[in-house]
Parts: sequence; C-alpha cells; structure tokens
Amino acid sequence: MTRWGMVLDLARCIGCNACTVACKIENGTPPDHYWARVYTEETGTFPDVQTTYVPALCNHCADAPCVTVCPTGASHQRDDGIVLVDQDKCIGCRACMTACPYAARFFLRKGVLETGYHGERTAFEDAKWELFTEGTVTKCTFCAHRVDEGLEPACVITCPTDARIFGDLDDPESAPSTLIRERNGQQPLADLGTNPSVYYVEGR
Amino acid sequence: MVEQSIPTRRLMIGGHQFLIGYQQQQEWAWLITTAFFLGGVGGGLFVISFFSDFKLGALIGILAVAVGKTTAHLLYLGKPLRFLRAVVRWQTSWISRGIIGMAAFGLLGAVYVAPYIHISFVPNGVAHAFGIAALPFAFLMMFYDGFVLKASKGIRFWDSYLMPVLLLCYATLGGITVTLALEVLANEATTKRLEWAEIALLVVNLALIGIVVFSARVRGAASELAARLLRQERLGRVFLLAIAVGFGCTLVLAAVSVATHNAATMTVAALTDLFGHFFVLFAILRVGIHAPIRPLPLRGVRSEAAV
Repeated sequence: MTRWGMVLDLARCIGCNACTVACKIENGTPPDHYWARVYTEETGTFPDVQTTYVPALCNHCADAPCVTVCPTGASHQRDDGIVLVDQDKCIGCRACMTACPYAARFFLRKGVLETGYHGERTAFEDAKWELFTEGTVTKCTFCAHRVDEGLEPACVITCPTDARIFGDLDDPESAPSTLIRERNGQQPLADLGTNPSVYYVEGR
Repeated sequence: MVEQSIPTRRLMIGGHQFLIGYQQQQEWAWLITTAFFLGGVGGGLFVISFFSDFKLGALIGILAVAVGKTTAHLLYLGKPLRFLRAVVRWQTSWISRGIIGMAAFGLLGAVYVAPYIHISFVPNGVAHAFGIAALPFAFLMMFYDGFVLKASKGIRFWDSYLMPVLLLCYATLGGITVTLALEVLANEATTKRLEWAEIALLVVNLALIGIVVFSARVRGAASELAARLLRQERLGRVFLLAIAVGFGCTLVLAAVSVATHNAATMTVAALTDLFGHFFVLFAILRVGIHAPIRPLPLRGVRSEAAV
C-alpha cells in the first residue's frame, strides 16, 4: 500500500517562497488561500537572534481530525493517504478548520471569485476557478492530479534547494523514509495523535 | 524569544504575515454562539418543562431549536442549501448526530405540543408518548455542541470532556430559569424544587467554569494561553462581565425570588442568567487558539485577542 508523504528539510529551506508561488500557479488558488506556505520562525534575543524558515502545507494526516468531524463526507481520505475536500459536498460549516491543528484549511468566502486578484477575472482565473465553489473549504491536495500521473507535487519540483522531498512513506527505501530514519524526522504536533504524513528534519 | 501577539496572521505576501505563532480561531463567533446557546436553552427548556408538565415552556423550547438554532446554523453555512447533506456522517461526526437530533426533536416535539396549540390530529395520550420520544433528542441538544468542541483537536482548550459537561449544566440551568420565568409570567405556580435547583446549579456551573479555566494548563500551552485570554484584555472583560451578571446577579435575584416569589425578580433572574450563558459561550468560542506547528514557549507571547 502506498502512503504519500513529504519531508521538509529545514536546513535547506531558504524562505524564497517559490513553493508558495508554484502552488498558486499549479492550482490557481483564490486570494488568501496559501496551500503551500513558508512560515518565518524568529528565535533568540538581540543580538543573538536566528531566523528559520518553516515550509508548511496540509499534513495529510493518517488519522485526520478534519475527516472525522466533517458531517457530509466532503473531507475524505484516499487509499494512498491523500486528504481531499469534495467541493460539491462541502456545506461550509468549517468544523474541519477548527479541527485541523495545522491551519491548513481555507474558507472560500462569498464574492471572492467574482473579481479575481486584479479587479476583474483573467483568463487564467476563469480556467482555474472552475474547480472552486464559494462557501466551501479548500486545502492542499498534494497535487493529487499530478501524483496520479506519476509526477511530484508542484511545490516539490519547484523548490530550488530540494527542501521538499516527496515519496511513499510505506516504502522503507524511498527518499522521505530514508531521510526520516537517518535524520530523525519529526511530525508536527505529534502529541495530538493525528499521525501526519509530513515530517520535518532539522539542520545536520 | 521574539515577542509575538495574538492573533498572528500568516505570511508576508499580499499583506499577510506568516509568522510561526499562536493563532486565534476566526471562524466560529456570533452565529455559532447563538446556535449553541439556543440549542442548549431550547433543549433544557423542553426537558424541564416536560417534567413540570408546562406545555408553553416545551413549545418555546422546540421553537428555540427548530427555528432559532436552525436559522443561526443556516445563516452561518457557506452552502446552506446543502444543509441536509450534513446527516450522512453520523458514525464519526457530532455535527451530523446533532442535526439528526435537531430534526427528530423538532418533529416529535411538535406532535407533543400540538394539542396545546389546538391542533388535534392525535389523541392526548399519543401526543404524550411523542413527548417521551422527544426527550432523548432534547437531551442531546443540551450537550452535543460540547462534543463538537471536544472533537476540535486543533484547539486544545476545547479538547476536553469538560466541554459537554459544562454545556449540559448550562443548558439545564437555562431550562430551569426560563421555565420559572415563564411559569410566573403565565400566572402558574412555580415548582419549589426548581427554584432551589436553580441556585444549586448556579454554584455548580461557577465551579465548572473555574475548573475549565484553571485546568487549561494541563492541555498544553495553547490552552493555557486561551485561559489567560479569558482573564485579560477585551475578551477577558466580556468573560468577567458574563460571570458577574450571569452568576453574581442571577444568584442574588434567584435568592430574592425564592423568598418573595416576585414575578419581575424571577424574570430578570432568567434574563441575567441567559446573558451570562450567552457571553460565556461566546468567550469560550473566541479563545479557541491553535498551537504553532513548532514549539513556541509562552514566555514573550503578548496576549491580545481579537473579539
């Protein structure tokens, strides 16, 4: 059985946000919807301060709380572990947004799709936004449409430093499994028991 | 640690700031508070009125749920016309279970009160049987929203079995205070036991609130921060006002009404209790805080919640 997952290498991420932009282009996400994003973590006290860039996306948890709380079955999990939202079933109750510990879900408010980014919709927005429905919740799909064709997610192929490593977590020899094993990969907020399919590895 | 405030927004693209930090939930506010409030009070009112054989109270309880709670939910939903889809995942979702309960409660309860509003399509005995059948669903209305909160793993302050217990106690208290007020307004004799139960429940609820707030630390830093917000800043003021009015004023007024059986006092006691109930719920919803995806000590975090 395949379980798609990703390792995010914090030692490699330079905070360029190329993944954020690649995701926007690939999925044509509406304004304020950042499925792939890079957080800035600032630690220390002046003058001894440090910035770490923390890429983030939906963790496609094995025990996804968003799937459990969804009253309609719109939030569902495929056999390969990818968690998706069926825009035709979502009623916009946003229970999944409060249940998700990773702020990985976005509500598509009414009117957002009318004007687009620049006051009127572009041809690109016309084409991409057919997939979105106002009043529903959206989230990262792990680029399921690409994965189904044997490709890697857009954020992964775009990353100039190879900070995002995608592969099958059930395959012990896959690139992410090896990285997790060799560099002690950690799941975010692991104590919540959601068993994310995204791992972080720190500096070497 | 660099000082951060609550809520932190996301990212520095298009005016957003994506900083690792604690994030106050922004989705559930007035309408969900209203829905939870009306569901709890409506269910409680029906249960208490049923056992007091007070049909007016039962009728208002049904209306609070079937009209008030349902309307609040429909206004909130992004796709209200798909409302009925929400019944399909009852195996895992408390929202599904709640909606099934709302429908069953509304239908069964309506048959129970039908003779009271002179709609006699069933004999009184059968109507009473429908009332008994409606009771478990009314009971469900009193606490299921607590399980909706409990199921929100992302918000540790809510992720506690104290939530359904608290909402059940609040719903019972609301049911009692409104039943007493309605009985007085309808010139019916009030039940002495209910008057004492009101005072006892006020004390129990205050203790429960204290336990919820002071046990928050056990559930992690985000939960501790939520409890801190309930004592500080604007949300803190809302919460303290709700406690002062909902418990302080209601307790004094309830004690006076036990002694005097004054209709006005009993009505005002119900109103102050409902005011406290609503704003305590509102504050609890608004202090829902998501933990950062990487550990961030609370030291240096400035507590400022958006109301």
